[in-house]
Amino acid sequence: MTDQFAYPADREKSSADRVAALEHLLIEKGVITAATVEKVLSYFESEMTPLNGKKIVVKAWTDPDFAARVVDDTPAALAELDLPEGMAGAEGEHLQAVANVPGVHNVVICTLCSCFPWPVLGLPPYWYKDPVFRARAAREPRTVLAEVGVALPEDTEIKVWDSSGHSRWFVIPERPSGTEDLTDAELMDLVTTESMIGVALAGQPA
Amino acid sequence: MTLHSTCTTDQAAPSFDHEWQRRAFGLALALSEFGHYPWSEFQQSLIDTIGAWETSTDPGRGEWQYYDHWVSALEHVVKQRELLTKPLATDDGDHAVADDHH
Repeated sequence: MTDQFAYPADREKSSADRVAALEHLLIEKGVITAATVEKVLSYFESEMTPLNGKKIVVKAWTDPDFAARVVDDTPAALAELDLPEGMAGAEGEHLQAVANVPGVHNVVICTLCSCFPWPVLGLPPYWYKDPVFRARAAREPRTVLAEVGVALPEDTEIKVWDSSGHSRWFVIPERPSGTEDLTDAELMDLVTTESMIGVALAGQPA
Repeated sequence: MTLHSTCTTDQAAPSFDHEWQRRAFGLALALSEFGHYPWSEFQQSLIDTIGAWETSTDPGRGEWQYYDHWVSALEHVVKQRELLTKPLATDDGDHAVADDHH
């Protein structure tokens, strides 16, 4: 897979130059400052991370009423939680949770532009943005899931959710069995970004 | 099993492969956050850019590289909004003052 994504050095430099030139002009014209860009980036990098998604999933695992509400009206349910300011900002305003239950497994893709629920999952892994992954996951999700180690029973329905400007889907994975005695912190360790995209199951307790 | 060695997304922060990708990301986000365009407009520009690449039959269209599309989409919105030719007045906090685009 890596070779396919080999990146020519000259193109790399060209892209870097384009960004530098654009930023330089925007600063020179007084549209924005470097400090502002850095401030936004820092906030994003420190607050808009998968930690938010983990908190949401664990809350859903431990509070059945919340589990129902988060699927029914995701933004309203998230507003109940102590999550960072700005959750409703870029890419967050149309968050929509879907829950895995016995017999139904959800997978999130984006065939348009790789929109991603940043506020709850952070930045997408780069394979998520790969057209081959997106196309195959839409066409043959069961095969793709099996390839990445999620072998689902034949009678399990797979629902593929295509993110868009209007709905940024994320998955509430099933709570693993044998986790009744775990603390919230221990449960959070079992929730991975992959499991919230639906390309993995939640981890098993050690 | 993971999809790829880079698929270790449980770290607490998002990561970029290159600093220019980070800057491009930050610029697009900051310009939107500070009122120069609604996020949906950048989103649509990105959709259009990627759509054009995916439907292109030009053998010279180049390999897939997500952040190249991101940069193109950003350049497009900056041009559409005439941010470089007619910069909006900003207040002391870098926020764009209300303009007639909205």
